[in-house]
Amino acid sequence: MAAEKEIVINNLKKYFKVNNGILHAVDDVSFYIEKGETLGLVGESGCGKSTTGRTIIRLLEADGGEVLFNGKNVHDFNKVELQEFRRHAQMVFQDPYSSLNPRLSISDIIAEPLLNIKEYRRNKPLLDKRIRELMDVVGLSQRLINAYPHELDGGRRQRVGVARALSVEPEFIVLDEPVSALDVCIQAQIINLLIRLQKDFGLTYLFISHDLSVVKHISNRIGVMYLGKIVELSSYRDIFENPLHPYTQALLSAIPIPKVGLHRERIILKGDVPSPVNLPAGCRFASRCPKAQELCYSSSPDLVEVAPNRFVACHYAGSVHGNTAM
Amino acid sequence: MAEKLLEINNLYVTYDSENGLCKAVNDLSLHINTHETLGFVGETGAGKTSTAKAIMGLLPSPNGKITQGSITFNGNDMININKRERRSILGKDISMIFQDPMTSLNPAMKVVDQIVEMISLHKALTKREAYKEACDLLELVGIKKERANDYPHQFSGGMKQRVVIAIALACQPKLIIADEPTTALDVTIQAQVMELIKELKEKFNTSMMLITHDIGVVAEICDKVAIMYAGGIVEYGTAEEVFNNPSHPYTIGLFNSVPKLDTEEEWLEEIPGLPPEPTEEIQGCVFHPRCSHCMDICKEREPETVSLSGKHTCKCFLHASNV
Repeated sequence: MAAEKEIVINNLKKYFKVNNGILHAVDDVSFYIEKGETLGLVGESGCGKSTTGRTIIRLLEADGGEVLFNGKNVHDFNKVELQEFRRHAQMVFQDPYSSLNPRLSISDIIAEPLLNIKEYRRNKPLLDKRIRELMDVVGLSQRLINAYPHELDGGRRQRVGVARALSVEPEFIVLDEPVSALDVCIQAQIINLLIRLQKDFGLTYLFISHDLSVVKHISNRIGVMYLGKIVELSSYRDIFENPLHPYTQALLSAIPIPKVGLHRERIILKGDVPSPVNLPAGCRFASRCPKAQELCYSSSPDLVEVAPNRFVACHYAGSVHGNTAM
Repeated sequence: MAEKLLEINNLYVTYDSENGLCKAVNDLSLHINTHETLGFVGETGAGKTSTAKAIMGLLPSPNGKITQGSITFNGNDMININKRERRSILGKDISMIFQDPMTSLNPAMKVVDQIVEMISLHKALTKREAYKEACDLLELVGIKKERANDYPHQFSGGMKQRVVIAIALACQPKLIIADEPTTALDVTIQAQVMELIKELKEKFNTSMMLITHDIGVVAEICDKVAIMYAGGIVEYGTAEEVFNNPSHPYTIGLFNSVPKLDTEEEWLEEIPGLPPEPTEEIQGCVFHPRCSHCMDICKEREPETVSLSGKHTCKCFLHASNV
């Protein structure tokens, strides 16, 4: 039985005008997220993963395509509908140091989204009760209710960010690198918290990160992005056990594994990610791809389903088969 | 071959701060042999960078002080050395690669000039010779000669870090202190830079102290590992010993809190709580408030460093024989 789809993204595009042309941040990206699942979005800096997240939740206006939430296009919403949408979809940001207003206390920060809701706005004790409840849920001690962000460490600040997102009881949360700024031990605490909350409240996550091991741990399916396009999209097992796209293979082989005496073939990519401004024709990865052929420089491959629920955008996905990184 | 290049004994570093005395490094001892790479692992605030700065004599004055201990590099006492001698060692025999390549280069200077600066400070060469040598160094780290006259902002993060490495290598130092050299880079670029560092280390026979919080990077290139917690080394040994047989509860917790690529687990193991504030006084073992194996003795006395096997040491009562 196919699970219900929480959010469907069709041909989403987001371009930015820059001095020397047009920056294709998100270029024709399509995927869906099922209810209660976590879709991980990975890629290197500048590949458009954060822009995708922000455009989905309409913090940025799309330049094309649609984002369907319960069958309605988020980008067609008027002001009232958008405000209603914000009660269902929330976001947690990367940097807990800059995403919390330093001049608001913890209770004010968590209360902010709630003040858009009439019953909380008019009922101070109810609001207060809800704030305390949320602090309990994310594991913040109640004595911190009147503290300010600068008094908290990174892990606690991120808990405040999570509490703020949870306050309106959303179904869908975009997590944009929620643990990247944290130390590994604190990172483990926050990841466990996010998984527990998902189980308790039946949340759907879009988890954006550059850290593949974290994404693998938390995601059901993973999308790999390169220069504004999704190059591979499958279940986390398929991606890690048998990556099909040469970029995914290189990315996996580049992760340092904390084990001594491990001998593995490492694919070292040449050069840097090209600029996303004025992109060349053909496959965007061709200039760094160890397996590029003539065809790759002239025509851009589409994301096609090569096996059930396995999507790859590579002309030679069949022939690059079986070269796993692990 | 096992000649001690750098030796630190019972080092204490403190900072004066508004909230009282901040003990950044407590009773730290270690040594690095020639042609050896030591991985220095720990969380933010564990004292990794303070140790590196103490070696280089770069502690902020007058707040940062070495209150006890000795640092010997290549026969020189690095604490009581005079300024001129220190300057002749820094850059020449010890050089440093900083974390953030975006801020460690001078934005208003051509990259080649930044390398020339280092060369002409320590070598008696003509301008032209120094320029040629700088270009050769750029080629060595994988940057084409044609780009020598570019400015740092014209390079990407990975390329900038290559320039920083070229500067560090300019005088063929005996020891490189690399402070989180790849943390600011993307994973595929990190792989390139690590590969380059490995290759050049072989080529020039350099010792290295690699400061990082990424235990994957350590496993890949380090011979020995020191695990730092709250200013002290809690576990120390060869990479094989520490990774195959982690013994201190903190080391075990640290390793387990990293998601694994080759296994599946639903929950990550957490170390409860937070590292202590450096101004906090903790009686007994510094890790006991977070330790799941905490015993009564841990709250009373500070554990001794005990030898487990060969060079593998651990600072924990669990492994002490006479408790």
